[in-house]
Amino acid sequence: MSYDLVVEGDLDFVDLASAAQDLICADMFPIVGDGGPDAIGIAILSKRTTLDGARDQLRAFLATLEVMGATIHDLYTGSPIEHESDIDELLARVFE
Amino acid sequence: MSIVDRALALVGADPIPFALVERSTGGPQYASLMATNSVRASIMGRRFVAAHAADATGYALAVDAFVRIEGERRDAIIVEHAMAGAPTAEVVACPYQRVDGALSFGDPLPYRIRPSALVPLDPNTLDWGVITPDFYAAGDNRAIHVVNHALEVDDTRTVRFLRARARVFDRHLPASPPPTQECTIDIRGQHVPASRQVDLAARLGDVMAKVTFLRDEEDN
Repeated sequence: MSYDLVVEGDLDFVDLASAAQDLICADMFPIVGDGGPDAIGIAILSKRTTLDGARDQLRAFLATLEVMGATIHDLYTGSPIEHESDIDELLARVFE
Repeated sequence: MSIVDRALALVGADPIPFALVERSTGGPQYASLMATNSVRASIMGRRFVAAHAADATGYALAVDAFVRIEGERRDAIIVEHAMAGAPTAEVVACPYQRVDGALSFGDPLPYRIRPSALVPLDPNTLDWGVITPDFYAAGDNRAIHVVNHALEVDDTRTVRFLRARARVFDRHLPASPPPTQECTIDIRGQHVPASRQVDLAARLGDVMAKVTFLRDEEDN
């Protein structure tokens, strides 16, 4: 099972698809239509990399999203990811 | 004079991001892009360009940024530009110096190529990397998604997530035998009424051949 995020906002899909190549710990895909805002889905997988690797990749990627002003929703908790500690909690679940 | 030159001619002493759309009829369309950073300004600019694409002959987006040239940090105006009919835009970095309060530009340097903002972009056509099914039965080409989402308050994002993921898988799974997808939704520990489960399954019905709910024993 993956741990899933949805990112919503004014997104640059071209830059995000490029960044997806460096996010080895996750599958990423666009979410358009279906009556909602532009978004991307992120499915984080434990089997692709180490905890440290995933942490570094996610922090770098989330910094890209922050520049765009995007909102990140953790579908497991139903809450937004706003702080680095949220990433740590997420990764603790993924790699437990 | 190129559209890059025409865009640079519009850059003031205190550069403000802007979008310029040149048209086949009427004068050019211009918009200042007020945003907190150059990335957001560029996103706003591409939306402006797309909204005026019908009679556009070309466009330029100009944002102020820093670039590194031979290890040295330089001020530069980044100009994204394309002419109508071209599938891609060229992005160039135009380093500048302040001379007597005005900007003096060096030669534009190639920076990157990206899809033209005049062409509608389907993000599904971009390369998003690999897909990883939770379970995959190769014999009947069946992918099974397993999710554990907080569904007591809202399931809209879950539905959009699963529908989009299924569409991505449809493009990646082998063509033969015809691929099918199923979904198992773990709602143990949550109160999700039966009527909402039926509704959720219905909203996934056109992309998932089967939707199964993993419930607490007392709910079965």
